[in-house]
Amino acid sequence: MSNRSSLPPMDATVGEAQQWLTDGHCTSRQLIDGYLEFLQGVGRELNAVVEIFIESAQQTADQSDQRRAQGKCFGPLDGIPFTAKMNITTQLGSSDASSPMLRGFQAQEDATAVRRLRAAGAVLVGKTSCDEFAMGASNETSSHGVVSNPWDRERVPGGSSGGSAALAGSHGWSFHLGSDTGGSIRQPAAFCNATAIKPTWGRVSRRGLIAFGSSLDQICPIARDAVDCQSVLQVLEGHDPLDSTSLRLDSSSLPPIGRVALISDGLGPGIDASIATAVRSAAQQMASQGIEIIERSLPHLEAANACYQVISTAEASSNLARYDGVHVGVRGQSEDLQQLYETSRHQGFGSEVRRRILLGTFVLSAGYQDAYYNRALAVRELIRQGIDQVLEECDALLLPVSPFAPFPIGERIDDPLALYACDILTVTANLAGVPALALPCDFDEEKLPIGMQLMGAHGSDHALLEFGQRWQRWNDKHRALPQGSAR
Amino acid sequence: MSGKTTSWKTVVGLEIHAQMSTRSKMFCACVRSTGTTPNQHLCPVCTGWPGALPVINQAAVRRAIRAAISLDCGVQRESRFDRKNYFYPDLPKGYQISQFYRPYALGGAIQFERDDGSPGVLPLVRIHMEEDAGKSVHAEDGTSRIDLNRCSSPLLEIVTEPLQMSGIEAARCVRSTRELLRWIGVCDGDMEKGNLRADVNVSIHREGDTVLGTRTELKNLNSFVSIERSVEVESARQAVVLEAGGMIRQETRLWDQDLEQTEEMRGKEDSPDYRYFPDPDLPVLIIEASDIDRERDSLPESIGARRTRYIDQLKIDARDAESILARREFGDFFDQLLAAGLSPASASNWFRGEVLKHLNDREESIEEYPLTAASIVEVVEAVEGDRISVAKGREILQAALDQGCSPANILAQTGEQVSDEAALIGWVQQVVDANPDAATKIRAGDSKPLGFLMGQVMKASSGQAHPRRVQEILQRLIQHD
Amino acid sequence: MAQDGPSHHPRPDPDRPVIDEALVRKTAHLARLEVSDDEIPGLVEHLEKILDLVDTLRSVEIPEGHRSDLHVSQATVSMTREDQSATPTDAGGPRDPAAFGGNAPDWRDGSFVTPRVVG
Repeated sequence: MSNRSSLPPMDATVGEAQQWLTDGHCTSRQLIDGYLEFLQGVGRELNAVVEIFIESAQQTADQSDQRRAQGKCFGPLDGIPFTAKMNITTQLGSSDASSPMLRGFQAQEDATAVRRLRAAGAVLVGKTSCDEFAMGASNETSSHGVVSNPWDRERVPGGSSGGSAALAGSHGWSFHLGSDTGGSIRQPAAFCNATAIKPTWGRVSRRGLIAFGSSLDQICPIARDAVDCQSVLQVLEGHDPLDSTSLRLDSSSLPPIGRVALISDGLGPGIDASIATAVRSAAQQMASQGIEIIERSLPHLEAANACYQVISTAEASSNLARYDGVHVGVRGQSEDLQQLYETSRHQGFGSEVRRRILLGTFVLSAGYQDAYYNRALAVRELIRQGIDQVLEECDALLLPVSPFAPFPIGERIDDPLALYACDILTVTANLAGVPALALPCDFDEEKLPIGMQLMGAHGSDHALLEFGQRWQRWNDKHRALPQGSAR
Repeated sequence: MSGKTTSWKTVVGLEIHAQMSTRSKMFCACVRSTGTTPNQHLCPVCTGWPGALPVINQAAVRRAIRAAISLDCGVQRESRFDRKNYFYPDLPKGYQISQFYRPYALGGAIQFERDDGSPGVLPLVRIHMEEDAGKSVHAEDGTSRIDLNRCSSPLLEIVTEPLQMSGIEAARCVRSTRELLRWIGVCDGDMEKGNLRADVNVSIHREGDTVLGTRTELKNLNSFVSIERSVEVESARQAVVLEAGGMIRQETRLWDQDLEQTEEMRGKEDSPDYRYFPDPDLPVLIIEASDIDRERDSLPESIGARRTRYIDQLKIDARDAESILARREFGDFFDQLLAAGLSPASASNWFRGEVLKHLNDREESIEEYPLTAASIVEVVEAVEGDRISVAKGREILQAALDQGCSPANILAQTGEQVSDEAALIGWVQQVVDANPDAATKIRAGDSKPLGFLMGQVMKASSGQAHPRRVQEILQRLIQHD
Repeated sequence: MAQDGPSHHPRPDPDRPVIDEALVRKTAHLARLEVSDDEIPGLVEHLEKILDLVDTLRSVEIPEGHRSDLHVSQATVSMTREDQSATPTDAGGPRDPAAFGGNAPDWRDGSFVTPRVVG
């Protein structure tokens, strides 16, 4: 049925695959069948995908082909495959946030983000693994098992959106919905050589995103390049009546980025030398293209991680209180209500989730709230002001995504603090609510990807994405695919 | 039960919870309902499903503003919603959304009547908005069943300062608040359904003491009598404890209405730690001055002003006035009867005697009542102009309701009352001739058959004979025969 | 903020709470988390370490009159909804009770079932 020679090249972006469809080289059905084959092969080998919706994807692709034949194509995402992270609800399949607590949970409803994509003709092909309730930086806390990094299968893909990134890093034609609370889309993108944006908080509706830290959470696109991320964001963004924190942002274009501040704190001690060097040389490459580069320090970078630990866990402790063994989720055995709560939550939550709930409960509890939670709120506001100050002198901030390269599976999982260190450069954008774009930058000596991020002012998402597109015209590292991901 | 000790002064603080009468719930588009079938009005938001987010109901905010204006509170431009975290099966999110740190209204007062008849003022601390919890019911098999229909219904919590008062006065404060909230359309005030309920804080101190005693809290009182009695009983209990040299513990106690006693609660934590923090899912609520003005402009004449008008100006009997003021819509309908030309006395009679009776018989609300004030007035004017009898007037209104048509149509088909002497005498003579026994009895001093003869005359005249005149003629003819 | 009781590791910072078994158990109970005896030492150590990290918050100077109750959202208008009831076909609308029953651990006769609720 599917004529393989007619499919686009494996590294083709969504934009290129769409052109391929428009030019009639293949049908959406053929594209989807080809992608399903990849998911069932490499996707399963990496353990990145949890559920695959073969029949529904094929039907949706056929409908897309009919529209195209009648000249009624819905636009750049029509007939294009995409996946959603397990913490994003979908009408199809289950939405368990990779937690035993929600095993088999049938949300029976698409998150607003998913609904908008499907309305734009995009084809939901599967659900991807992630850290349990998106709490992790290595995808090792998933109830669906460890996910491999496509560039070195002994290494982690990053997290929590590890499944999304592993797929985005190893095959084109598609995009993926992940989420980012403290770096959960950017760090795996950097680890897997993909492009991803954490939008301005409120740009994308959170309805249907299973909450971790609500004031930090955003649903994010991850794909092969900045063009694709922008096409997806244009469908996702906009006020949603079901999320009162979703913004009515002015989508008129912002002035292009002409001046970038290299953040010196992100290049010093604690950051791998190869990463610091790669980001510095990226800055030089930008400079050679006429971008003005200045070097600045970002106030409170160290306190940001502390602030994040307090606020994210405090919110999580409350968000996860609904899993009580009564309304949704697993239930333990007990005739006593209080014991029922405790045993259900013991069975349903993994140890990292329980650690975070414990810390979050502690920082909100009587006698400690002022010293921890309230102080963190105050510092958060200072962090936001600090970014604004730097942005008075430039259009975007440049810094690495991760302080170190993808690490071997099992290396950090027993040391929570070592895992929390992954977040130090990414949490600032979440605390300030500003957008941050992760772009492939280079490869280290072990041929492992290095990512960098650009952080912009509130609402400047599209300016960042347009700058990302320019960058990807100067530097094509994002096109590289790992060996062994071929079908 | 111990009697009252005169040297003790009772201080009461109230938290009044009023469910706002919106169409949908506080944070989702589910129908606000107290329906009997459990779990019929649920969605992912009020059930606390993963991924669902709250969105504030405008109508709840508007009603809340009306309540704040009417209770003389300061409406805050910026307010916020917080999360009150605790585990309970009727609370599916594991937290209740409530305005803790920054309520939308501060200050204000409840006006009430003191036991000696003087006006009392109970100052308010604040009013805040929050969502209600669901309900748990004990099942016969030893389990509890959870019904979330009520969950996330919009509530107002009115928190008062503590004030020295009696149990009756505390109940009166709640009564006057209930009356006010019903009047301005904020809450239906149905206490049996729990749509209005109060928590009562009680403490006692010796006369002359400047420091208040330790208080206890009695939760979820849903009748005036339980508020009145629980204050009296609890203050007496505290006096016994203190007089015996004991201490009052700050605690929540249960009120048992049947036994008329308060009990310690079992299975509750000593001091709950609710870990309040701002709900990140809800932005700051901004209430502009224009929002407040709009609500103020649309508020009805206050119930106090209306009462004064009815009793002092219109000279309506105080008890009759209360039944007209039981709901604002009653008062409005009554005012329409006045506007359409009825005198206060006759409007009061026809409203209470007919309209309220119809509503009661038909089990419908005044909003559903099909007759207009103008159409009723047409009939009343026919009665007062002697064109038809009172009984006929009532009959016409009832027939209009039964047939679903306008009273004017029936009135038009009804022949005018006949007062013509000759015609009346003709009918009466005919009836008296046909019933000689009855006439004999009457002449012998037995007035019983008079009613029977009256009925026969009305029948003979097809109901058109003027009843009072018929009676006069009957008596005259019988006596003269 | 200081907690009474003996400290295993005397610290220079007097404001730093002492993390011990009692505090972990109390906090775990607040969160309705079961903790076994074996888990206690690990959790005490973890909380100690994370509070070391979190202590950097103390080094940040908070300016006088600093407002920290601002919402992340920079929306200036209140987002509210009209008082309308939705239908099951609307996005986010009400659901058939069976949908909730199907995902609840114990659902009988149209209700969620729990062990007896006391108080």
